[in-house]
Amino acid sequence: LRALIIDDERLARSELRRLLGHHPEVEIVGEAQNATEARRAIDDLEPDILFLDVQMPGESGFELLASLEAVPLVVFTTAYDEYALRAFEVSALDYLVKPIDPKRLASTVERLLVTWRAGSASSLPGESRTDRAKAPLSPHDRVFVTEGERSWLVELGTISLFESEGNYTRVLFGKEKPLINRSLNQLEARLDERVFFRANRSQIVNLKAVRGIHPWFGGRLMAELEGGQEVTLSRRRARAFRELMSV
Amino acid sequence: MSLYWKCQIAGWSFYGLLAAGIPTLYGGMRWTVALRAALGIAMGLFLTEQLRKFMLRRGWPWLPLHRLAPRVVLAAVVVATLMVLILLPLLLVNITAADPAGPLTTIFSIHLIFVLGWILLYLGYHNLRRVHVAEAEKLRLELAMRETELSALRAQLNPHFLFNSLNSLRGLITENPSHAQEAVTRLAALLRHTLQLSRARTTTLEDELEATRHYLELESLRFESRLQYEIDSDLESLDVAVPPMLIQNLVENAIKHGIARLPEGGSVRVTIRKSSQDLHIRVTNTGTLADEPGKRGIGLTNSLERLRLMFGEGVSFGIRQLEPSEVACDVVVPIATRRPARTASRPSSTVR
Repeated sequence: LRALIIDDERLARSELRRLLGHHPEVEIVGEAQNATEARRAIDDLEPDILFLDVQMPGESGFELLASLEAVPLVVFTTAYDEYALRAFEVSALDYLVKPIDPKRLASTVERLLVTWRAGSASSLPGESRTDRAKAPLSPHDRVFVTEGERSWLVELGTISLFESEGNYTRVLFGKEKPLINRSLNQLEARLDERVFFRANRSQIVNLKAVRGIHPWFGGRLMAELEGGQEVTLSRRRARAFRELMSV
Repeated sequence: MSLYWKCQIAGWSFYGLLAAGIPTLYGGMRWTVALRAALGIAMGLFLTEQLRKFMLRRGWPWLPLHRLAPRVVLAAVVVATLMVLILLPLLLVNITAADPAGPLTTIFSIHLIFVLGWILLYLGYHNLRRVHVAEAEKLRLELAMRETELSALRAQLNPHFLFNSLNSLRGLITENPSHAQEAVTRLAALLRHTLQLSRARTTTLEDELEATRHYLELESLRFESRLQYEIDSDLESLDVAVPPMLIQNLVENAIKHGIARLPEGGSVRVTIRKSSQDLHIRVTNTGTLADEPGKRGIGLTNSLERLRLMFGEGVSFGIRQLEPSEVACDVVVPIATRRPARTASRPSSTVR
């Protein structure tokens, strides 16, 4: 389990490093003291887990996450619990209050390992990290979404529909439909086409969320989603869809 | 249309109905009866409106009852007499009885009762509304009071600072034990200072500066090279009363809104100067003001309100961009050796 520690305070970082020293399963691959450094470190080191301080100068931990294409496992660290409540709503794996209780850290690490093993089983063995960086995002990759005061860490696989709204994209999962700060075209370039299918100019649909496909007039197709939404596949995309399905 | 005018029109219409109705029952409808009723309504509206202005000008609604009662009776008699006198020619035309004195007395009494009723209704309503407004005002003030009280309490012990310090301390214990011991002593001194403030209304400049120094030292543990600070005071005697936590809160804000936001950090400078009557406190920090509009305003208002509670109106409080990357917060409080004006000591029962 490769970890990156992100905290603006040197003493806080070294303290966490020392505490994690008791857990050999966790390898600390780097440290960062602000969001900019963290982004670079995440690109270079591809950590499996971030220990992330919420309050930092410049961008906050939340802003950092929102800017990431795919979010690794995250444990928030915070000195006071005002942000921790928000962290919980994002269903982040865990959060730790500073000063960190070694027992609490131990149970967090245990939980992390369980989640990590479950997650890494789904990715191909022998797949190198650099390959993965260029490979499309898998349904298990997670994105961080904030809207107003609420935020979510969403597995791509649970998103049923992406809808273009100018430079933003509205994502549908469960009962929520917040906006994310990326255009539909940007997303399409990174999404796995076998799962996330461009239905028309303004929508990408998760094929796993499709309940039924009906022929529609003009050579189009109508996809009915689990949530009850109906998405029309344009004529050109309907043809592509038939080809994809016949393979 | 206001409630006042609605009532006016309803009331005088009722009057007009009576004035036209009663003679009609006796002697049938005549144009003089209708004219008399119309003139009565106009008179009533006009005279009571003048009366209202007169009463307000003379402050009748605020008079005690024993001084108000005779005035009300007199006013009612005057207005009723005026109305009857002006209407007299029209009234006489319609009175069929041989001796008009009897019916005229009745008509005067009815007018008197009408006008008296009008005055009582008006004053009663006026009074009721005033009570409501006063009540609302009292509630609002109490709320504001509690708000400042609360923010003062919150300001006393910033949990964020406390837990961050403890976290730094935990790291420091293995890294630099003697430095850690020193930090524990500082934290203890700062906590003691803070706890004692819940009992004292004021503190001396000396104690306040000492606490501020501890505070800055502890923050330096967290920020390390990102925080530089300087405390500069030209006072010979530090035995000057200041509101507790005043300087420390200013410094705390300077760090929270300034230094903590800057990846490179910056410096905080506390300058204390004394003029003949005032104490000038300036806290500057690296940073820009425009960062966070609105949010900062509330803190400013609260601080100013707290200062006003303590020192009365002789305080000033301002925050501004001193240089492109330097923000200055200036506070001027009147000097009162040891004890400031005791405006702050209000009975606690009003707050509970």
